[in-house]
Amino acid sequence: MAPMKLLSSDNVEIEVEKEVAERSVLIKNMLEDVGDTTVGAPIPIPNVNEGVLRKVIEWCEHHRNDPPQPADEDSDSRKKSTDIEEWDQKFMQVDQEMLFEIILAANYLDIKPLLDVGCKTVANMIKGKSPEEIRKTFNIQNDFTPEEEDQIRRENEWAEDR
Amino acid sequence: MSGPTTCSPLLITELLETILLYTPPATVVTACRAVCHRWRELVDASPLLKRHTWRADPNIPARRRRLKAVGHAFRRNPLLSDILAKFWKRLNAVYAPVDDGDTTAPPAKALDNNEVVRLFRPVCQSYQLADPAPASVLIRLAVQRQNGRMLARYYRSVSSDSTRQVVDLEVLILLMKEMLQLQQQKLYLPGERNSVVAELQYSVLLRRPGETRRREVAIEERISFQCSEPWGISVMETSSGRAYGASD
Repeated sequence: MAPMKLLSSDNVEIEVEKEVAERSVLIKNMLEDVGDTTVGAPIPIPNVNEGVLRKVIEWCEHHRNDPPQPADEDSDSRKKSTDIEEWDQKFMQVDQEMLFEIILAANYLDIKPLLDVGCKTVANMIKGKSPEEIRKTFNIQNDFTPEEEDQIRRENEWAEDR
Repeated sequence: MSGPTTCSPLLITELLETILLYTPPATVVTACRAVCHRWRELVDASPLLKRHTWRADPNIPARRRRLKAVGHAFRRNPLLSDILAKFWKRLNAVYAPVDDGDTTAPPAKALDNNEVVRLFRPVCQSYQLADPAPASVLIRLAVQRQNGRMLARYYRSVSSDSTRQVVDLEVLILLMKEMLQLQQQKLYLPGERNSVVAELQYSVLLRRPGETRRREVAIEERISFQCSEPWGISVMETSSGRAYGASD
């Protein structure tokens, strides 16, 4: 239950239990590398600001006792379940900017289960939407030429509802 | 570093790929491919996404595909249901009741065989039917009155020659054409008390757990077409193939 400190990109120290912080493979590896010599000195997390880091830690605390994920050799296993457990669904009820920041932080900190929950949440936002709705939701520029648009329309015609 | 500029995970190819792997294949192959160049190229190029969306690769010879089928589970492309549901809706749109208030609406046009082929062949040719690819598929189609009287039956076996398996979804075109025939012959009348059921029997080579040799196994599924609004289909696996862990 050893406490330790993380330093966010905006220079805020956040105290966290070591075993919670070690849900992040990045932090876990860092701690193993430096050993116990630097106890007390906060570990800088230069890519993640305070708000996002606190949110990520909240997730890690809730999932501190999760069994470790089986080694990800089978890429099939991950696409099997697109379900998100209830607590995680609530946790992900944030605005898009925060959602994206959590995903990026989980990616950077190497917290695979959190990254998966984030990606599933975005996938749910895409599910069943039209291309135009997807572009609007995520602010993506349509860069197809009219000819390409036409080609795409013909390819997708079977799926149109009329 | 910590400016207000939020980088979007959608701009990181690896993350976009993960997200799309969690998105239903039907959405990926239609909507996501049509968002922008980046998305389209990723969907078409990523090996993981190709597998996720059951993309048929015409460059892989059937012989090699057969070799890949070493597992003991049979999985059928879920896109089959999406395609048949859309087809069924179109087929019945011909009979959709006309809204009296709107006299400007053109009368619903009947689908013809050419139209169906034009609409559905591209998608059917682009995606795999099942993994492993069946050596043959038997199609049974029946139209039945509610009182049990059989109105029409249709059998068709699509099988491989020595080099080819039934690789892609094009087998559905046969089923669609036949259903159009039934409708044109007024053997199937939408909204009346009849039912249309299609049974597909896939013959595949599977290896049971603990066995060293693959055996030919028949896996069957039954597709019930709902004959009144809302036009939909339901798919039920009826086979003994479940014992082999069909579609887990």
